Amino acid sequence: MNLKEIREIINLMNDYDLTEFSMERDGFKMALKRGPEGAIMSQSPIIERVAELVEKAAVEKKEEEQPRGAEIVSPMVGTFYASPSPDSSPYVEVGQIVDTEDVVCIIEAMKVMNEIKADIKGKIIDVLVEGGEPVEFGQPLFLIEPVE
Amino acid sequence: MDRERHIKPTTLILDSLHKERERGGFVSGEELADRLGMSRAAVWQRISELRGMGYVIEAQPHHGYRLANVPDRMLGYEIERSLGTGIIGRNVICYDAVSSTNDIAAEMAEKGEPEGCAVFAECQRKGRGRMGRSWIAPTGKNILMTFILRPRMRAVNAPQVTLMSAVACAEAIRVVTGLPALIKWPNDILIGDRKVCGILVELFSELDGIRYILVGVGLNVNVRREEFPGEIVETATSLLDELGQKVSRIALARELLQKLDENYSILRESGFSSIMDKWKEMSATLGRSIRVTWPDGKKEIGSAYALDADGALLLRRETGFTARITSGDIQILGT
Repeated sequence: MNLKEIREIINLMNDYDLTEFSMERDGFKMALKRGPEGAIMSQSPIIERVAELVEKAAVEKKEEEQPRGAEIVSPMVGTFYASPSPDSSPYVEVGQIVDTEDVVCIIEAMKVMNEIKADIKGKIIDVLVEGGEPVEFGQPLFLIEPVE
Repeated sequence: MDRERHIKPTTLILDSLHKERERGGFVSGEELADRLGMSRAAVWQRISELRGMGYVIEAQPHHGYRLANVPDRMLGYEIERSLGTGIIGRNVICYDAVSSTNDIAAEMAEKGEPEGCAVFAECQRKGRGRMGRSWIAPTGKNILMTFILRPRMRAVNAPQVTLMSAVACAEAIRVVTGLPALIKWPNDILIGDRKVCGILVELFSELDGIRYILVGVGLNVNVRREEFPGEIVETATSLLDELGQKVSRIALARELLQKLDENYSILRESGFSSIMDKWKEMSATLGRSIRVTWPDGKKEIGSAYALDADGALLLRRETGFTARITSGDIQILGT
């Protein structure tokens, strides 16, 4: 069970006007309840725990894969923007050398703009996400080959 | 550039003048000289300095001095004077012209400035909104302000600050002008269907949390609609245009800091749901038909039917299914 699946359940609850939902599977328990306005009210600790597990899984996965270069990962859930405005050229392109303080992209969530810095000096070897695409916490955004 | 440096030698005189003004009276030059331990000539010199800054100070023989009017300038002293906020506005800095107040606040935050610092400017050379859009304001007519927050929360919760700031701005406008300010999701302030205030939230984070958040507020106060650039002349408004009279920017700035302080403390102590309740009460979006422009540029029409627990807007699509809006722009179409 991941966040996406929980979100789907919530959407289904809205679509079918269900007020309560609970499930149990492999020692995992979840209960959702809808409030008066139709919004999901319960931010149950379980959901947060699941969120944490998903995040942890993402971090662990990163460690297992051991990619060629280092990764620049997203510090938050949001939307990825490769350029400062729709009409301008991207912050970085494949082959470009970046410094630790260089901005490589923006992650936006509910109008909160987060300029992501490279944090390592290196050469961009891959851009892993498309502009306008949603990203998860800890999701790799760029592959970067560190240089001294 | 820093007004406070100019104002400091005269602060004590201003304190006395303000105190007497509240009682409606005059204070004699002799009394001022006594109180402040300076000669009457020195008092006179300071009074002249203050007049030079735009203070209107009446002088009457046998009565003394009376503060008749405070200049229409963002003066740190006037904004901070007996402000009484806990965090927001505990350090107020005013500039004539800056690149943008967010830029200045970012520099300060990087140097370790504690949260609550508020930077005001009369003019921005490179005022900006989101996604490379510019924010244009004529000099000396609007409120251009950025404050620094260092909330102890995970980056994923940063949008709470966006909604909190919108609530505070709408409340401050309501208190000072009585105008029915409403919030367009997530943080534009409208009067009628025109935008009067924009908020730019910039997050500086690390993987393990928030370093700081900058909240930039651009509030159209005493600008006239004719002064707006062509592309927003039909969609923007100002308090002057809505009210038919000028609004004291100092009074509004003070109320804004107070409301921000109040709502930031509600957010920390009572949690986001209390902020969402206020947001919903002042919402211009919920229950309305909207056009969404998704981040990939696709457009869609639907109904904004609720706010999700994290502040996302819930859309009922034409297919009957629902979607969460966390990014992209929305346009309100009607009821």
